[in-house]
Amino acid sequence: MGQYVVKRILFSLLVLLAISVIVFSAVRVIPGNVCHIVLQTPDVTKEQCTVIDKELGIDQPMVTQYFKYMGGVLTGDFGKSLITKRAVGAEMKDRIPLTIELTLLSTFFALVIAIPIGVVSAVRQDSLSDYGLRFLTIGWLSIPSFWLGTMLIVFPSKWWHYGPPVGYVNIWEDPLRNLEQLYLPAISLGLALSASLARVTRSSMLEVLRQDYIRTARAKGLGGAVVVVRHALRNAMIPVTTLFALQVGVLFGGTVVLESIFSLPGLGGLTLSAVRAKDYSQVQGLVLLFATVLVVLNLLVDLSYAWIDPRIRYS
Amino acid sequence: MEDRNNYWLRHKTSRRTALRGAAVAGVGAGAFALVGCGDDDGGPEPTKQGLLPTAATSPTAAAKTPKPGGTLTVTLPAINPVLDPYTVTSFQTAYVNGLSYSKLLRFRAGVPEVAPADNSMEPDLAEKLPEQADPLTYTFKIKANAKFHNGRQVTSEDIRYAFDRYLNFEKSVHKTGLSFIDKMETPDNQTFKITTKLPYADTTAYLGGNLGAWISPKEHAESPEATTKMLGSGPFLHTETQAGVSLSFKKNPDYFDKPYPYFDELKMFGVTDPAKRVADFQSRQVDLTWLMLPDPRDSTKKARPDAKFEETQGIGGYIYLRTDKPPFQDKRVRQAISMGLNRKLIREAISKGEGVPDQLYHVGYPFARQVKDLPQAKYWDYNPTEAKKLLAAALGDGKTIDTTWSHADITAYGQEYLDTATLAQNQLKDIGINITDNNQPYATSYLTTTYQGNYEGMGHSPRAVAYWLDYVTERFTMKPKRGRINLSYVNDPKLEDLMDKQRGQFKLEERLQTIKQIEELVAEEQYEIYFSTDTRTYFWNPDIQNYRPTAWFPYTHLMKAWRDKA
Amino acid sequence: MTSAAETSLPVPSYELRARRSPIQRVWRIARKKPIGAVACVVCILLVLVAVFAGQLAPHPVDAQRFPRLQAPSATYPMGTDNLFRDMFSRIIVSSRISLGVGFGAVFVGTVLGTVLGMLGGYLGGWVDLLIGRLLDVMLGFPPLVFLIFFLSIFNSKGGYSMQSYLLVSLAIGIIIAPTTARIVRGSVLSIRNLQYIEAAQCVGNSANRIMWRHVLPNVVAPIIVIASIQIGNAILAEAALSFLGLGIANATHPSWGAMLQDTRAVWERAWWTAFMPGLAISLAVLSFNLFGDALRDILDPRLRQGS
Repeated sequence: MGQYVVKRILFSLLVLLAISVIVFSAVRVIPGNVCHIVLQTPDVTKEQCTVIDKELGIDQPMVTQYFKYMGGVLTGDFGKSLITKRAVGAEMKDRIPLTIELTLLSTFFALVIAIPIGVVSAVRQDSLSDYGLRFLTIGWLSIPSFWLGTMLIVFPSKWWHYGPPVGYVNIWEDPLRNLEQLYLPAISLGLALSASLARVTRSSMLEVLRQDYIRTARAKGLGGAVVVVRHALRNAMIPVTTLFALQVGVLFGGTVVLESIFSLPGLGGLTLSAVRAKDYSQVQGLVLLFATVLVVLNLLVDLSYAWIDPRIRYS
Repeated sequence: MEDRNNYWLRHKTSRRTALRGAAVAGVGAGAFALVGCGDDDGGPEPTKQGLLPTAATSPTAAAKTPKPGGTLTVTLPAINPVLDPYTVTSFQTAYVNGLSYSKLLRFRAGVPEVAPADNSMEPDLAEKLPEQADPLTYTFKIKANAKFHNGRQVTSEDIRYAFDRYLNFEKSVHKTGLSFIDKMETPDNQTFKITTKLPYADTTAYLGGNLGAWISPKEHAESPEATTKMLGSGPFLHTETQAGVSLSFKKNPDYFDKPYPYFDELKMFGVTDPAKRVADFQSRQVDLTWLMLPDPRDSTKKARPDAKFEETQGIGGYIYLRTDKPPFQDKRVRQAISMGLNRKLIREAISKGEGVPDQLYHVGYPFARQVKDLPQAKYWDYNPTEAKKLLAAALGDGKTIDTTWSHADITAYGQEYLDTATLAQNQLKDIGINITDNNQPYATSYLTTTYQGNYEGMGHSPRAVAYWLDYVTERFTMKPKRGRINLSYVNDPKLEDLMDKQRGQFKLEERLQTIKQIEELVAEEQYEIYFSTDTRTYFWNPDIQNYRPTAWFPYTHLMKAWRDKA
Repeated sequence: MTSAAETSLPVPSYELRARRSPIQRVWRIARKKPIGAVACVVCILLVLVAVFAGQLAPHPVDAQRFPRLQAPSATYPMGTDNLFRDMFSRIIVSSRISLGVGFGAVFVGTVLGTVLGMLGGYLGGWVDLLIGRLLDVMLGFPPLVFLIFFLSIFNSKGGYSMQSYLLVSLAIGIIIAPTTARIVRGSVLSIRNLQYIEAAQCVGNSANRIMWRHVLPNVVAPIIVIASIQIGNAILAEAALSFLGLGIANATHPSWGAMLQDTRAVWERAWWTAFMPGLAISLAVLSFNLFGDALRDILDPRLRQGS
């Protein structure tokens, strides 16, 4: 196992390295002049550009720039935003809690919807309610989250003059206000996830329900609900957790749209505004951050599988 | 002239006052405020005088004593991450700069007694309006009690430093605008003297405006925090930034202009999504919001019957085209384009038919004429038959034009700007101008190509009206190089002469004669083809007193507002 | 679609089934999988609508001569939008870009994924290792973040053009390729050691030939299944891009996502402007998903458990 873990970790590092090279070089093939971006105006002179290029170090060869940059990243220095001149790392750090909270909250909504549906579908396999629920989940898989998000802004305000509090407060500062600000985007984001989670819950429940120990438990005279919840569901959650880990990327992508619609100061909204403003040092930092999280999650999924199922280590 | 003044006065007391347009977002365009007054006779809508419960009609504020304290929440279309006045021209930055920074002079507008589009100035850091010994020199006395937020006194040296930085700092983006300055002197701590290179009639207007005028002290301007924090001598202390989402301010207890400010706290929220902006006010999450088009205005009126509002004429846009090349070299082609536009239909789509046709000097400007009063008014009439005739005369019978239309994408100016392009392109197809739409991402493409003049055929931008009259020079000059926003490549010696002339005319009446000539020349040539104004509405909570929208960007006037609540 | 699925069925029962007419066979499957059959019909209809959009749309897509914001009625089945246009005509024409990008992206993703999966699965060893890492790299990007990053760099001009179409399809294709690759690799692994492959190897066929002549036909079923399901995802991705203003649609070449963005300001007053394009997107995504599900059950019962 130890050897396998080391190998997997090395692979992950390799993958991160490759991603950093890709992102770094992609950013540098962008057409357009960096000093126009920095000064936010086309009305710039050559001298101004020289000064700025020097300041940013982009007058140096690309390889040098790359090593300098990566050296910085390893010590937590992602460079400075082209536009605000703020440290990219600090800008992201301020926004991480919101995006984590939004991701977790939407997962929570997704699970609350998905698990009962998955369980009922599995227990009543091929019944009308099974078909109905499955159809429903596939149905809302097909609703774009930006559509749902906008509907949740427009219609409550039209019908009941209701809208969540504007801005964003930290959850530790004012939990209720914080939740009121986040629950609508979380629902918009969680709904699509709930559809795929429900499908996996159903299929893994079906598999677990066929296992011997469930039959034993039933034979021992335990009631249906107890068996389902205590024995079957617990085991069926393993693939669900895996799927969630793999869906985090999709959730991150969703925050781009929803944080923008709801004007929330998270990483997703920052990604979109940085891309639009052409603030590529910021974009670079964000993509690296997202990639690190996803690569680590993938690593954890792989390792936990190897831990559960020893055969994997040797394949 | 008499006549013109009357026009302006009439509008001062009218409630159909005019406001800025949201549309002119971002760079460059931020140089201008958008103003307009509706023409009550020419507008397609019957006049609404007497119907609107605006601040102008209810001067209750005067009767009440201001109550200090409380918090004011305000929505902005976005919060520009860059707050350093030296390196940015964005109007979004100008809004909030006005809270923490001061200038030599400031706009009077923003209170119920003053019309929103009134560009007259009152002293800010200066004790009074400048003394002018001759047409080239201006002497300002600085208020003795003015202090920066770090406690240091504001001296004339700080003023000199600021303008020096605007002129010479390598990252300054205000060099062209302030190039009229020849030299600056500080005879003593409280006296600042400026000498201009040529008699420049816009000197005070420019120095009191929002471009290259804010005084940010050396110790802050040169610190690494200059971009993201504001430290000036203005009415509010900038306390917190939630990047891209909100800015928080506290009352400056040491503000030099007592008894202002009244509010203890101010929160500015940047809400980029227009649907959310509307919802936020309808659901009472903010005190003050703005620039609603007629459709959301009507639903907001229904949702918030209690709210105060002021309805104003905003901004449409204009078409620019390569007048240095065929086929748009020929003025008949440009006139045909203007006559091929069904402006009324566009107004119906965008602003429920509200608004009026627009021209070079925005029709809401006190000095400008309504389009129908121009000798060239016929070019604004929708007349496809005549347009086709003109085209045939210019190109030969049965010939059509294939061209492109470049414009910024939705992130810059919003949906109504794109809708205008869509409708107009379709209308021009009917007279034989086939247009390929070129929708360019704003930051990554439009700004670096089209906005710099690198485009072919035609394009379209929201229009802007500045608080200084000489702004036409930047639009229409090719000397010594192409003006920054001369997107139409206008190179007209006759026009240059007129522009040179008005710049040195200190007597407004004389200057306006020249401006009238410019107006007519540009109308005949159709160097830029104007659409219409639209209607924009500001809403604010009924308990906010002594507030009125202004056509000018800085939100300094919020210091005069207060909340009437027990 | 059905005939492609039929030919790719595992060989054994082919002779037997051949005695029935194709119509009978389709009918049999339709009876067994009614939802899938309906979905299949809807998918085919959608494709036909996209192909014949020009003929089907009652009005030109940019005709601006109707009353503004009319609710759906007999004259305007889906109402009119804020720019005096007939929504029904626009929805029909929009299917071109929405489905075009959907199919284009899935084509890219499937080709890319199949090649990677085949090479990795069949050749194994360091090739497999390398490809595995490449897929890890792709999975390291959150899908939508990758799309806006990629397109803002390589398609900074934007707008409606062949280049935009190809780049958008390529970008979406890249994000769906890893899934296809993993499934293909898994299927290849499961048949790599079967006798007939070994036999082919013994006869001295090159690896290349074996892969494409012998292995590929046997993994076509899962490829078709995953491709049909991914069309829905690709349509959603295109809608999101159009919404963010990074798509290829414009006023004369609309897409469903772009229609939603264009009318957002009037949703509150005109529900149909939000509902109709939304319905079109959901209908398309739902149909392709249900069709894919049914295909999976028919073609490859093994996959049913896995996903």
